[in-house]
Amino acid sequence: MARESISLFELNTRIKELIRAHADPSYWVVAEISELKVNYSGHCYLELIEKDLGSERIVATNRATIWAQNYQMIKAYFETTTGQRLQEGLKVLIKVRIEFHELYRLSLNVLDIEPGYTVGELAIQKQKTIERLIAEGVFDMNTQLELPLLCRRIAVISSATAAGYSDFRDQLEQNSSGFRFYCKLFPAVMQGNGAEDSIVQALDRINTCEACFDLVVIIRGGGAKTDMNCFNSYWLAYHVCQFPLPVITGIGHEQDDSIVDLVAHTRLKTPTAVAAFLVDRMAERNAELDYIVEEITGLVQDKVQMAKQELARCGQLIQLRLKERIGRSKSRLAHFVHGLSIQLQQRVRSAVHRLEKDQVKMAFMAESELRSRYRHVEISGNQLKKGALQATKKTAFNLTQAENKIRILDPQHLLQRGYSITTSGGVVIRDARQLSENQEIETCFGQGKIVSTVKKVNSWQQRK
Amino acid sequence: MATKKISYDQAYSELQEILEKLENDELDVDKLSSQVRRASELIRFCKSRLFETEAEIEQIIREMDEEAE
Repeated sequence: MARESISLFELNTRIKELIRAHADPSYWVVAEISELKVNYSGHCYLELIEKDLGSERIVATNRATIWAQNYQMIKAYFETTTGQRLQEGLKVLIKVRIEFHELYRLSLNVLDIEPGYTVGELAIQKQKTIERLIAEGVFDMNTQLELPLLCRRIAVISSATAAGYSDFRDQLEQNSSGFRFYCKLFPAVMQGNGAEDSIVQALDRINTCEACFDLVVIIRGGGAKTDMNCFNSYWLAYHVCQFPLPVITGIGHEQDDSIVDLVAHTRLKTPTAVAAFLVDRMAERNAELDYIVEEITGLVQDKVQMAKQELARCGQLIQLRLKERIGRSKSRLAHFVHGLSIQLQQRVRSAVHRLEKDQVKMAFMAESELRSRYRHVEISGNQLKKGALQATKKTAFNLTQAENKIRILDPQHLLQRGYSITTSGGVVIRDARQLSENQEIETCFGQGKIVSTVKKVNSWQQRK
Repeated sequence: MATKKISYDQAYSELQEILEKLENDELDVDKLSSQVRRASELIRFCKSRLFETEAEIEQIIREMDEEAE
Protein backbone atom coordinates (compact mmCIF):
# COMPACT_ATOMS: atom_id res chain seq x y z
CA MET A 1 0.00 0.00 0.00
CA ALA A 2 1.47 3.16 -1.10
CA ARG A 3 1.36 6.02 1.40
CA GLU A 4 1.86 9.61 0.54
CA SER A 5 5.37 10.57 1.53
CA ILE A 6 8.08 13.14 1.05
CA SER A 7 11.78 12.86 1.06
CA LEU A 8 13.92 13.90 4.01
CA PHE A 9 15.35 16.70 1.96
CA GLU A 10 11.86 17.91 1.15
CA LEU A 11 10.94 17.76 4.84
CA ASN A 12 14.03 19.70 5.80
CA THR A 13 13.20 22.24 3.12
CA ARG A 14 9.74 22.65 4.60
CA ILE A 15 11.20 23.04 8.10
CA LYS A 16 13.55 25.62 6.72
CA GLU A 17 10.63 27.44 5.09
CA LEU A 18 8.58 27.23 8.27
CA ILE A 19 11.34 28.72 10.31
CA ARG A 20 11.97 31.41 7.76
CA ALA A 21 8.27 32.24 7.70
CA HIS A 22 7.67 32.26 11.40
CA ALA A 23 10.90 33.08 13.14
CA ASP A 24 11.98 36.64 13.87
CA PRO A 25 14.99 37.86 11.90
CA SER A 26 17.07 37.64 15.06
CA TYR A 27 16.89 37.00 18.82
CA TRP A 28 18.95 38.15 21.78
CA VAL A 29 19.76 34.97 23.67
CA VAL A 30 21.43 34.34 27.00
CA ALA A 31 23.52 31.19 27.07
CA GLU A 32 26.65 29.68 28.52
CA ILE A 33 29.47 28.62 26.26
CA SER A 34 30.35 25.03 26.98
CA GLU A 35 32.65 24.50 24.02
CA LEU A 36 34.44 26.85 21.68
CA LYS A 37 36.51 25.88 18.67
CA VAL A 38 38.04 28.00 15.95
CA ASN A 39 38.89 26.17 12.78
CA TYR A 40 41.68 26.78 10.28
CA SER A 41 39.61 29.22 8.24
CA GLY A 42 38.79 31.36 11.27
CA HIS A 43 35.20 30.30 11.78
CA CYS A 44 34.17 29.82 15.37
CA TYR A 45 31.97 26.90 16.45
CA LEU A 46 30.25 27.02 19.81
CA GLU A 47 28.24 24.69 21.97
CA LEU A 48 25.72 26.66 24.00
CA ILE A 49 23.99 25.35 27.07
CA GLU A 50 21.60 26.49 29.73
CA LYS A 51 21.71 25.10 33.23
CA ASP A 52 18.90 24.96 35.72
CA LEU A 53 19.69 27.61 38.30
CA GLY A 54 19.13 25.38 41.30
CA SER A 55 20.26 21.94 40.20
CA GLU A 56 22.90 22.99 37.66
CA ARG A 57 21.34 20.37 35.34
CA ILE A 58 21.56 21.16 31.66
CA VAL A 59 18.11 21.97 30.40
CA ALA A 60 18.90 23.17 26.84
CA THR A 61 21.68 22.96 24.29
CA ASN A 62 22.31 24.30 20.84
CA ARG A 63 25.05 24.83 18.33
CA ALA A 64 26.16 28.22 17.20
CA THR A 65 28.59 29.55 14.67
CA ILE A 66 30.40 32.83 14.38
CA TRP A 67 31.60 33.21 10.84
CA ALA A 68 35.20 34.27 10.44
CA GLN A 69 34.55 37.89 9.36
CA ASN A 70 32.22 38.37 12.32
CA TYR A 71 34.32 36.45 14.77
CA GLN A 72 37.34 38.80 14.52
CA MET A 73 35.17 41.78 15.27
CA ILE A 74 33.11 40.17 18.04
CA LYS A 75 36.16 38.71 19.74
CA ALA A 76 38.02 42.02 19.82
CA TYR A 77 34.98 43.89 21.04
CA PHE A 78 34.27 41.35 23.73
CA GLU A 79 37.80 41.12 25.01
CA THR A 80 38.53 44.82 25.14
CA THR A 81 35.28 45.44 26.97
CA THR A 82 35.38 42.57 29.47
CA GLY A 83 39.08 42.01 29.82
CA GLN A 84 38.17 38.40 29.29
CA ARG A 85 38.91 36.06 26.51
CA LEU A 86 35.82 34.70 24.83
CA GLN A 87 36.00 31.15 26.12
CA GLU A 88 34.30 28.19 27.69
CA GLY A 89 32.47 28.77 30.92
CA LEU A 90 31.38 32.30 30.12
CA LYS A 91 27.78 33.37 30.08
CA VAL A 92 27.09 35.55 27.07
CA LEU A 93 24.29 37.62 25.63
CA ILE A 94 24.34 37.13 21.87
CA LYS A 95 22.24 38.18 18.95
CA VAL A 96 21.46 35.12 16.82
CA ARG A 97 19.56 34.25 13.75
CA ILE A 98 18.08 30.79 13.55
CA GLU A 99 19.37 28.98 10.52
CA PHE A 100 18.31 25.65 9.24
CA HIS A 101 20.27 23.86 6.61
CA GLU A 102 19.02 20.71 5.01
CA LEU A 103 22.35 19.02 5.48
CA TYR A 104 23.74 20.71 8.61
CA ARG A 105 20.49 20.99 10.56
CA LEU A 106 19.71 23.70 13.02
CA SER A 107 22.35 26.17 14.03
CA LEU A 108 22.45 29.67 15.45
CA ASN A 109 24.33 32.24 13.50
CA VAL A 110 25.87 34.69 15.94
CA LEU A 111 25.53 38.22 14.64
CA ASP A 112 26.44 40.32 17.64
CA ILE A 113 27.40 40.15 21.30
CA GLU A 114 26.69 42.28 24.38
CA PRO A 115 29.88 42.15 26.50
CA GLY A 116 28.26 44.19 29.28
CA TYR A 117 26.14 41.23 30.13
CA THR A 118 29.18 38.99 30.63
CA VAL A 119 30.88 41.67 32.70
CA GLY A 120 27.87 41.79 34.98
CA GLU A 121 27.51 38.06 34.99
CA LEU A 122 31.20 37.62 35.90
CA ALA A 123 30.84 40.19 38.62
CA ILE A 124 27.88 38.29 39.98
CA GLN A 125 29.81 35.04 39.80
CA LYS A 126 32.77 36.66 41.45
CA GLN A 127 30.56 38.10 44.13
CA LYS A 128 29.07 34.67 44.69
CA THR A 129 32.55 33.18 45.07
CA ILE A 130 33.51 35.92 47.51
CA GLU A 131 30.34 35.36 49.50
CA ARG A 132 31.05 31.66 49.61
CA LEU A 133 34.59 32.23 50.88
CA ILE A 134 33.27 34.61 53.50
CA ALA A 135 30.54 32.17 54.49
CA GLU A 136 33.17 29.50 54.93
CA GLY A 137 35.14 31.83 57.15
CA VAL A 138 38.31 31.75 55.09
CA PHE A 139 38.10 34.94 53.04
CA ASP A 140 40.38 37.12 55.19
CA MET A 141 42.53 34.40 56.71
CA ASN A 142 45.59 35.24 54.68
CA THR A 143 45.20 38.99 55.06
CA GLN A 144 45.11 38.48 58.80
CA LEU A 145 48.53 36.85 58.82
CA GLU A 146 51.30 39.16 59.79
CA LEU A 147 54.17 39.63 57.39
CA PRO A 148 57.34 38.74 59.25
CA LEU A 149 59.67 41.69 59.81
CA LEU A 150 62.16 40.06 57.52
CA CYS A 151 60.76 38.99 54.13
CA ARG A 152 63.80 37.58 52.43
CA ARG A 153 63.16 33.86 51.96
CA ILE A 154 60.72 33.90 49.10
CA ALA A 155 58.80 31.03 47.57
CA VAL A 156 57.93 32.17 44.07
CA ILE A 157 55.08 30.72 42.04
CA SER A 158 55.57 31.64 38.42
CA SER A 159 56.22 30.19 35.05
CA ALA A 160 59.96 29.56 34.91
CA THR A 161 60.27 31.22 31.54
CA ALA A 162 58.10 34.27 32.21
CA ALA A 163 59.76 37.61 31.63
CA GLY A 164 58.07 38.80 34.81
CA TYR A 165 59.91 36.21 36.84
CA SER A 166 63.38 37.15 35.61
CA ASP A 167 62.55 40.85 36.11
CA PHE A 168 61.52 40.01 39.65
CA ARG A 169 64.73 38.12 40.40
CA ASP A 170 66.95 40.73 38.78
CA GLN A 171 65.39 43.47 40.78
CA LEU A 172 65.80 41.61 44.06
CA GLU A 173 69.36 40.48 43.42
CA GLN A 174 70.57 43.81 42.12
CA ASN A 175 68.97 46.04 44.71
CA SER A 176 71.19 49.05 45.25
CA SER A 177 71.32 48.70 49.03
CA GLY A 178 72.80 45.21 48.93
CA PHE A 179 69.99 43.48 50.79
CA ARG A 180 70.18 39.73 50.59
CA PHE A 181 67.17 37.75 49.32
CA TYR A 182 66.68 34.04 48.73
CA CYS A 183 64.30 33.00 45.94
CA LYS A 184 63.07 29.52 45.28
CA LEU A 185 60.91 29.01 42.23
CA PHE A 186 57.94 26.65 42.36
CA PRO A 187 57.07 26.54 38.69
CA ALA A 188 53.44 26.52 37.60
CA VAL A 189 51.37 27.07 34.51
CA MET A 190 50.00 30.56 34.90
CA GLN A 191 47.32 30.69 32.21
CA GLY A 192 44.83 28.54 30.35
CA ASN A 193 42.90 25.57 31.51
CA GLY A 194 45.55 23.89 33.63
CA ALA A 195 46.55 27.01 35.54
CA GLU A 196 44.23 26.59 38.49
CA ASP A 197 45.39 23.06 39.33
CA SER A 198 49.01 23.84 38.58
CA ILE A 199 49.10 26.80 40.97
CA VAL A 200 47.30 24.84 43.67
CA GLN A 201 49.89 22.08 43.31
CA ALA A 202 52.71 24.60 43.64
CA LEU A 203 51.11 25.90 46.84
CA ASP A 204 50.90 22.35 48.14
CA ARG A 205 54.59 21.83 47.46
CA ILE A 206 55.49 25.01 49.34
CA ASN A 207 53.28 23.91 52.19
CA THR A 208 55.49 20.88 52.80
CA CYS A 209 58.51 23.12 53.55
CA GLU A 210 56.62 26.15 54.76
CA ALA A 211 59.08 26.78 57.64
CA CYS A 212 61.86 27.53 55.14
CA PHE A 213 60.09 30.58 53.74
CA ASP A 214 58.87 33.95 54.93
CA LEU A 215 56.23 34.40 52.28
CA VAL A 216 54.82 33.28 48.93
CA VAL A 217 54.85 35.45 45.86
CA ILE A 218 52.55 34.64 42.94
CA ILE A 219 53.71 36.48 39.87
CA ARG A 220 52.79 36.47 36.29
CA GLY A 221 53.99 38.75 33.60
CA GLY A 222 54.17 38.88 29.87
CA GLY A 223 51.18 36.58 29.26
CA ALA A 224 47.87 37.43 27.68
CA LYS A 225 46.14 40.09 29.69
CA THR A 226 42.81 38.50 29.10
CA ASP A 227 43.58 35.12 30.49
CA MET A 228 42.90 35.77 34.15
CA ASN A 229 40.06 33.39 34.82
CA CYS A 230 42.04 31.02 37.00
CA PHE A 231 42.67 33.84 39.49
CA ASN A 232 38.95 34.12 40.01
CA SER A 233 38.56 30.44 40.68
CA TYR A 234 37.04 29.43 43.95
CA TRP A 235 39.41 26.54 44.44
CA LEU A 236 42.61 28.53 44.01
CA ALA A 237 41.29 31.37 46.13
CA TYR A 238 40.29 28.86 48.80
CA HIS A 239 43.90 27.59 48.92
CA VAL A 240 45.43 31.04 49.00
CA CYS A 241 43.09 32.08 51.84
CA GLN A 242 44.18 29.25 54.05
CA PHE A 243 47.83 29.24 53.14
CA PRO A 244 49.95 29.44 56.31
CA LEU A 245 52.37 31.98 54.81
CA PRO A 246 51.42 35.47 53.63
CA VAL A 247 50.82 35.51 49.89
CA ILE A 248 51.73 38.52 47.77
CA THR A 249 50.36 38.74 44.24
CA GLY A 250 51.82 40.46 41.24
CA ILE A 251 49.74 38.99 38.48
CA GLY A 252 49.73 42.07 36.34
CA HIS A 253 46.38 43.05 34.99
CA GLU A 254 44.71 46.35 34.56
CA GLN A 255 41.13 45.33 35.27
CA ASP A 256 39.49 44.74 38.61
CA ASP A 257 41.28 42.76 41.22
CA SER A 258 40.89 39.02 40.86
CA ILE A 259 39.61 37.03 43.78
CA VAL A 260 43.12 35.73 44.45
CA ASP A 261 44.22 39.37 44.66
CA LEU A 262 41.42 40.08 47.11
CA VAL A 263 42.23 37.22 49.43
CA ALA A 264 46.00 37.51 49.19
CA HIS A 265 47.83 39.22 52.02
CA THR A 266 49.09 41.98 49.73
CA ARG A 267 48.06 42.71 46.21
CA LEU A 268 50.46 44.42 43.84
CA LYS A 269 50.15 45.01 40.12
CA THR A 270 53.34 43.61 38.66
CA PRO A 271 56.25 41.35 39.56
CA THR A 272 58.50 44.41 39.56
CA ALA A 273 56.19 46.10 42.03
CA VAL A 274 56.43 43.04 44.30
CA ALA A 275 60.23 43.15 44.12
CA ALA A 276 60.21 46.88 44.89
CA PHE A 277 57.86 46.25 47.82
CA LEU A 278 60.21 43.62 49.26
CA VAL A 279 63.29 45.80 48.81
CA ASP A 280 61.45 48.72 50.43
CA ARG A 281 60.51 46.52 53.33
CA MET A 282 64.14 45.62 53.90
CA ALA A 283 65.02 49.29 53.65
CA GLU A 284 62.41 49.98 56.33
CA ARG A 285 64.03 47.35 58.56
CA ASN A 286 67.40 48.93 57.94
CA ALA A 287 66.08 52.40 58.70
CA GLU A 288 64.46 51.10 61.89
CA LEU A 289 67.78 49.66 63.01
CA ASP A 290 69.59 52.89 62.16
CA TYR A 291 66.96 54.79 64.08
CA ILE A 292 67.42 52.56 67.11
CA VAL A 293 71.19 52.95 66.93
CA GLU A 294 70.79 56.71 66.72
CA GLU A 295 68.27 56.83 69.56
CA ILE A 296 70.28 54.59 71.83
CA THR A 297 73.47 56.51 71.12
CA GLY A 298 71.74 59.80 71.79
CA LEU A 299 70.04 58.61 74.95
CA VAL A 300 73.21 57.04 76.29
CA GLN A 301 75.17 60.19 75.57
CA ASP A 302 72.51 62.24 77.32
CA LYS A 303 72.53 59.89 80.25
CA VAL A 304 76.30 59.91 80.55
CA GLN A 305 76.28 63.68 80.20
CA MET A 306 73.65 63.94 82.91
CA ALA A 307 75.57 61.62 85.19
CA LYS A 308 78.67 63.73 84.61
CA GLN A 309 76.83 66.91 85.44
CA GLU A 310 75.32 65.26 88.49
CA LEU A 311 78.79 64.19 89.58
CA ALA A 312 80.17 67.66 89.00
CA ARG A 313 77.28 69.14 90.97
CA CYS A 314 77.88 66.67 93.79
CA GLY A 315 81.57 67.52 93.70
CA GLN A 316 80.82 71.20 93.94
CA LEU A 317 78.34 70.59 96.73
CA ILE A 318 80.85 68.51 98.64
CA GLN A 319 83.47 71.19 98.16
CA LEU A 320 81.05 73.82 99.37
CA ARG A 321 80.01 71.78 102.40
CA LEU A 322 83.63 71.02 103.10
CA LYS A 323 84.51 74.69 102.95
CA GLU A 324 81.65 75.51 105.26
CA ARG A 325 82.71 72.77 107.64
CA ILE A 326 86.34 73.87 107.54
CA GLY A 327 85.26 77.47 108.06
CA ARG A 328 83.17 76.49 111.06
CA SER A 329 85.95 74.33 112.46
CA LYS A 330 88.44 77.12 111.92
CA SER A 331 86.32 79.64 113.75
CA ARG A 332 85.64 77.14 116.52
CA LEU A 333 89.33 76.46 116.73
CA ALA A 334 90.14 80.17 116.78
CA HIS A 335 87.55 80.63 119.47
CA PHE A 336 89.03 77.76 121.41
CA VAL A 337 92.58 79.03 120.90
CA HIS A 338 91.47 82.46 122.05
CA GLY A 339 89.83 80.96 125.15
CA LEU A 340 92.86 78.83 125.71
CA SER A 341 95.23 81.77 125.50
CA ILE A 342 93.11 83.78 127.90
CA GLN A 343 93.05 80.84 130.28
CA LEU A 344 96.72 80.35 129.79
CA GLN A 345 97.43 83.99 130.42
CA GLN A 346 95.31 83.86 133.55
CA ARG A 347 97.07 80.73 134.65
CA VAL A 348 100.46 82.17 133.86
CA ARG A 349 99.54 85.32 135.64
CA SER A 350 98.29 83.47 138.69
CA ALA A 351 101.33 81.22 138.56
CA VAL A 352 103.56 84.23 138.29
CA HIS A 353 101.66 85.78 141.13
CA ARG A 354 102.06 82.61 143.17
CA LEU A 355 105.67 82.48 142.23
CA GLU A 356 106.18 86.06 143.27
CA LYS A 357 104.52 85.28 146.56
CA ASP A 358 106.61 82.18 146.93
CA GLN A 359 109.68 84.13 146.01
CA VAL A 360 109.08 86.66 148.79
CA LYS A 361 108.31 83.85 151.18
CA MET A 362 111.30 81.94 150.04
CA ALA A 363 113.53 84.98 150.26
CA PHE A 364 112.28 85.59 153.73
CA MET A 365 112.66 81.92 154.65
CA ALA A 366 116.06 81.80 153.04
CA GLU A 367 117.12 84.88 154.88
CA SER A 368 116.00 83.55 158.25
CA GLU A 369 117.45 80.18 157.39
CA LEU A 370 120.62 81.87 156.31
CA ARG A 371 120.60 83.88 159.47
CA SER A 372 120.09 80.84 161.68
CA ARG A 373 122.66 78.91 159.66
CA TYR A 374 125.02 81.82 159.95
CA ARG A 375 124.59 81.79 163.70
CA HIS A 376 125.05 78.08 163.71
CA VAL A 377 128.15 78.42 161.63
CA GLU A 378 129.45 81.10 163.94
CA ILE A 379 128.91 78.88 166.91
CA SER A 380 130.38 75.96 165.07
CA GLY A 381 133.31 78.12 164.01
CA ASN A 382 134.05 79.05 167.59
CA GLN A 383 133.64 75.47 168.70
CA LEU A 384 135.79 74.36 165.81
CA LYS A 385 138.43 76.90 166.63
CA LYS A 386 138.42 75.76 170.25
CA GLY A 387 138.35 72.08 169.33
CA ALA A 388 141.05 72.57 166.76
CA LEU A 389 143.22 74.26 169.26
CA GLN A 390 142.68 71.50 171.76
CA ALA A 391 143.20 68.86 169.10
CA THR A 392 146.37 70.54 167.96
CA LYS A 393 147.67 70.62 171.41
CA LYS A 394 146.74 67.00 172.01
CA THR A 395 148.23 65.97 168.72
CA ALA A 396 151.42 67.78 169.51
CA PHE A 397 151.65 65.94 172.84
CA ASN A 398 150.82 62.64 171.18
CA LEU A 399 153.44 63.28 168.57
CA THR A 400 156.08 63.92 171.20
CA GLN A 401 155.09 60.73 172.95
CA ALA A 402 155.17 58.78 169.75
CA GLU A 403 158.52 60.24 168.91
CA ASN A 404 159.83 59.09 172.18
CA LYS A 405 158.30 55.64 171.69
CA ILE A 406 159.70 55.42 168.23
CA ARG A 407 163.08 56.50 169.51
CA ILE A 408 163.02 53.77 172.19
CA LEU A 409 161.89 51.21 169.62
CA ASP A 410 164.55 52.12 167.05
CA PRO A 411 166.67 48.95 166.46
CA GLN A 412 169.76 51.16 166.40
CA HIS A 413 168.86 52.35 169.83
CA LEU A 414 168.37 48.74 170.92
CA LEU A 415 171.61 47.79 169.24
CA GLN A 416 173.28 50.59 171.11
CA ARG A 417 171.92 49.11 174.30
CA GLY A 418 173.66 45.84 173.51
CA TYR A 419 171.19 43.83 171.49
CA SER A 420 172.21 42.37 168.14
CA ILE A 421 170.45 41.11 165.10
CA THR A 422 171.35 37.92 163.36
CA THR A 423 170.49 37.33 159.74
CA SER A 424 171.25 34.62 157.28
CA GLY A 425 170.83 35.26 153.57
CA GLY A 426 168.95 38.50 154.46
CA VAL A 427 166.46 36.65 156.69
CA VAL A 428 166.22 37.74 160.36
CA ILE A 429 166.85 34.80 162.61
CA ARG A 430 164.45 34.62 165.50
CA ASP A 431 164.72 30.91 166.24
CA ALA A 432 167.83 28.83 166.38
CA ARG A 433 166.03 26.09 164.51
CA GLN A 434 166.09 28.33 161.49
CA LEU A 435 169.76 27.55 161.29
CA SER A 436 171.81 24.50 160.60
CA GLU A 437 175.46 23.67 161.31
CA ASN A 438 178.16 25.31 159.17
CA GLN A 439 175.60 27.87 157.93
CA GLU A 440 177.04 31.35 157.55
CA ILE A 441 175.30 34.02 159.64
CA GLU A 442 175.66 37.81 159.87
CA THR A 443 175.41 39.58 163.19
CA CYS A 444 174.75 43.30 163.41
CA PHE A 445 175.79 45.35 166.49
CA GLY A 446 175.35 48.89 167.58
CA GLN A 447 178.60 49.53 165.86
CA GLY A 448 179.54 47.17 162.91
CA LYS A 449 178.82 43.56 162.11
CA ILE A 450 180.41 40.20 161.88
CA VAL A 451 180.07 37.10 159.72
CA SER A 452 180.41 33.75 161.48
CA THR A 453 179.79 30.06 160.99
CA VAL A 454 177.35 28.08 163.16
CA LYS A 455 179.11 25.39 165.13
CA LYS A 456 176.23 23.94 166.95
CA VAL A 457 172.48 24.54 167.17
CA ASN A 458 170.79 24.29 170.56
CA SER A 459 167.07 24.87 170.68
CA TRP A 460 165.40 25.95 173.90
CA GLN A 461 163.55 22.67 173.89
CA GLN A 462 166.69 20.62 173.79
CA ARG A 463 167.98 22.69 176.69
CA LYS A 464 165.02 21.77 178.71
CA MET B 1 73.50 35.86 75.94
CA ALA B 2 74.12 34.54 72.48
CA THR B 3 72.24 35.83 69.46
CA LYS B 4 72.66 32.61 67.51
CA LYS B 5 69.38 30.97 68.26
CA ILE B 6 67.05 33.94 68.24
CA SER B 7 64.99 35.16 65.32
CA TYR B 8 65.15 38.60 63.78
CA ASP B 9 61.76 39.44 65.28
CA GLN B 10 62.95 38.45 68.75
CA ALA B 11 66.17 40.41 68.35
CA TYR B 12 64.26 43.45 67.13
CA SER B 13 61.74 43.35 69.96
CA GLU B 14 64.60 43.02 72.45
CA LEU B 15 66.20 46.09 70.88
CA GLN B 16 62.95 47.99 71.25
CA GLU B 17 62.76 46.94 74.89
CA ILE B 18 66.24 48.29 75.52
CA LEU B 19 65.34 51.52 73.76
CA GLU B 20 62.14 51.77 75.78
CA LYS B 21 64.01 51.22 79.02
CA LEU B 22 66.44 53.93 78.00
CA GLU B 23 63.63 56.30 77.06
CA ASN B 24 61.84 55.65 80.35
CA ASP B 25 65.09 56.13 82.19
CA GLU B 26 64.87 52.68 83.72
CA LEU B 27 68.55 51.90 83.38
CA ASP B 28 71.06 53.04 85.93
CA VAL B 29 74.58 53.81 84.85
CA ASP B 30 75.80 50.38 85.97
CA LYS B 31 73.35 48.47 83.79
CA LEU B 32 73.83 50.91 80.96
CA SER B 33 77.05 49.48 79.61
CA SER B 34 75.86 45.88 79.58
CA GLN B 35 72.60 46.87 77.88
CA VAL B 36 74.41 48.97 75.31
CA ARG B 37 76.74 46.10 74.63
CA ARG B 38 73.74 43.80 74.17
CA ALA B 39 72.09 46.31 71.87
CA SER B 40 75.12 46.56 69.64
CA GLU B 41 75.28 42.77 69.50
CA LEU B 42 71.63 42.65 68.46
CA ILE B 43 72.10 45.39 65.88
CA ARG B 44 75.01 43.49 64.40
CA PHE B 45 72.90 40.36 64.29
CA CYS B 46 69.95 42.14 62.63
CA LYS B 47 72.16 43.91 60.11
CA SER B 48 73.78 40.62 59.18
CA ARG B 49 70.32 39.23 58.48
CA LEU B 50 69.64 42.11 56.10
CA PHE B 51 72.91 42.14 54.24
CA GLU B 52 74.81 38.92 54.69
CA THR B 53 74.42 35.61 52.95
CA GLU B 54 73.31 32.80 55.18
CA ALA B 55 74.90 29.58 54.04
CA GLU B 56 72.25 27.55 55.84
CA ILE B 57 69.40 28.99 53.75
CA GLU B 58 71.32 28.61 50.53
CA GLN B 59 71.98 25.00 51.44
CA ILE B 60 68.27 24.34 52.08
CA ILE B 61 67.28 25.86 48.73
CA ARG B 62 70.02 23.93 46.96
CA GLU B 63 68.74 20.69 48.47
CA MET B 64 65.18 21.50 47.40
CA ASP B 65 66.37 22.09 43.84
CA GLU B 66 68.26 18.80 43.90
CA GLU B 67 65.15 16.96 45.09
CA ALA B 68 63.04 18.57 42.36
CA GLU B 69 65.44 17.28 39.73
